[in-house]
Amino acid sequence: MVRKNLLISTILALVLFIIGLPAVQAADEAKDVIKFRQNLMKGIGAHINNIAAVAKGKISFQGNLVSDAQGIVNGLATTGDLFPEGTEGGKTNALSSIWEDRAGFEKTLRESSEKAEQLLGVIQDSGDIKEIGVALGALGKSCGKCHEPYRKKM
Amino acid sequence: MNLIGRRCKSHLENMRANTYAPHFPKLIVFGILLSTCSSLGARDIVANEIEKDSNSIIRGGYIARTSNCISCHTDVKDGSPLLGGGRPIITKFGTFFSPNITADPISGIGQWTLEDFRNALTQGLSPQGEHYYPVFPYTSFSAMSAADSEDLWRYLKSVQAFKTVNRKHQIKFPFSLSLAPRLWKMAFFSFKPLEFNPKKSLRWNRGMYIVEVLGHCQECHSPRNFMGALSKKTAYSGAKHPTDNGYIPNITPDPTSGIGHWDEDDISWFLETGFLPDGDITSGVMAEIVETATSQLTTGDRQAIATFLKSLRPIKNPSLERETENAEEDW
Ligand code: HEC
Ligand code: HEC
Ligand code: HEC
Repeated sequence: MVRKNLLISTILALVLFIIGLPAVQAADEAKDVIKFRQNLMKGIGAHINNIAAVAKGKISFQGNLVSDAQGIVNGLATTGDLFPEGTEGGKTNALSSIWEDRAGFEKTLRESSEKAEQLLGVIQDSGDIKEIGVALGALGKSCGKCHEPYRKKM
Repeated sequence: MNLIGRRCKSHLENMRANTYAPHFPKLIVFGILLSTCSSLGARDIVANEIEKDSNSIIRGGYIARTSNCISCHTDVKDGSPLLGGGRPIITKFGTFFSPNITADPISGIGQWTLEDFRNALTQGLSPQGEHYYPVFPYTSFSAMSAADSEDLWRYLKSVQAFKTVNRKHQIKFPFSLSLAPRLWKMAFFSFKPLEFNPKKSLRWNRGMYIVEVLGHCQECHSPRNFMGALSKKTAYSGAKHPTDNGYIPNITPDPTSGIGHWDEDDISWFLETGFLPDGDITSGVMAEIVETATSQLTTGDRQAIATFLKSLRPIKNPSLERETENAEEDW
């Protein structure tokens, strides 16, 4: 009996854990989620900046390119989870249009993720600075396509 | 003719010299030989008429992109033809619709002469003597060099003519009165030719010409008074956005409210890609300007813009002070 209870509760805990994983825990405070996602976006910006330094020819060290591009891919992969309901007020530049048009938001996110993967691909396959610049430019446009409708202007 | 060392009257012609890729080597050569001073500059000596003509169109196309003639006079959203007009421009005085500037004789400018065109571009005057509203940035274009406006004219003539129906502006009273643009011009518009500054480099002068004239950057980046006029004193120090609650950034090199922390390379990179130095990306009209205008410039022209912007007097704009990073950054 005791063992059975233990089993059930273990399974239950596991299930809860798995369900709970993709979404930010409801218990997290909105202001912290906001800060977290802003940091994530800044991190993406920092990766972009490193790749840009190479594409511009300011830095010749290419050893971190794959890692930077992977960082962008990874960051965008969790971006969707960081905009749960209830995080639209406060110190955020996220517009309510995100929650009014969630499908559109997710779509621009997917497009941006694709561009990030393409950048990663170019870096892995060719490493040609010109091509990296082009892929980076395309990624930048895709970031803008989300910021335009879903993020407050400065 | 001893032209070497002689000061030019129209140095704008010189500023053009380092612009256009297709023409570059020739102009350099002639520039060195003749230093292109007289009004019969290198352009008239270069090759034959036909070649001159097609080069002129190419140069005109370059100016049309740099000056946003194409993006402002083409309603991409409604799929209107190139330069067919109809694009809405929202201001606090109402909504304006750009007119058709293809060579169509009725809805476009097919019946105009080069003189008519110059009057429109540099004086804000229609062939019938009507005054245009300053949404058409003739306030900046007024200092465009004669050679550039002629190239632009030839380019416009080379674009396929399209018949369209020009949309009426929806302007609020009293600005809707035909007297309004006229009074406005009497109060605020005066034609000032751009002076070549011999103390500065050619690159700086070229940058000034692109920023002040072709790119009409101050039309957005400078604050306006209640009548929509610009002031030289506060030029480029940022402005309230006409349509949303935001601000248009200060692009003087002020360290806390402007772009003092950007170096020239950062500016060139921004103009080419839209990326800000922190890896963020520009949006809205500026993204459009980067895409349709500045990313299509020659590298030299982007560097010239950067050199000029960095040389501006830093102006603090209290509404645009950046929040200093504070303890809230930590958890
Ligand atoms: C699917 C939409 C979306 C995509 C795609 C996206 N962003 Fe964002 N980004 C946002 C939103 C929304 C905010 C505002 C977040 C907030 O303030 O809560 C933001 C904020 C930012 C910030 C400011 C962070 C801060 O608060 O300082 C940076 C930098 C940024 N994004 C960079 C990027 C870059 C670079 C890319 C492309 C690789 C990108 N973003 C892609 C939606 C997106
Ligand atoms: C910011 C948008 C904008 C830009 C940039 C712009 N224009 Fe215009 N233009 C307008 C508007 C709006 C009008 C109508 C003004 C009015 O009716 O008072 C106009 C009017 C004109 C006219 C008069 C047309 C007529 O039928 O009377 C010509 C010619 C013209 N523009 C050419 C140009 C050229 C050439 C350029 C580039 C050097 C240019 N414009 C750049 C918005 C623009
Ligand atoms: C039609 C209006 C308009 C014109 C014309 C214009 N800009 Fe901008 N510019 C903007 C707006 C709006 C932004 C802010 C974009 C944003 O919020 O992402 C901006 C942003 C910038 C920035 C980034 C500043 C920062 O701190 O983020 C620079 C640099 C800049 N513009 C330079 C120029 C130059 C150079 C020209 C002329 C070639 C020009 N702009 C012409 C509207 C304009």
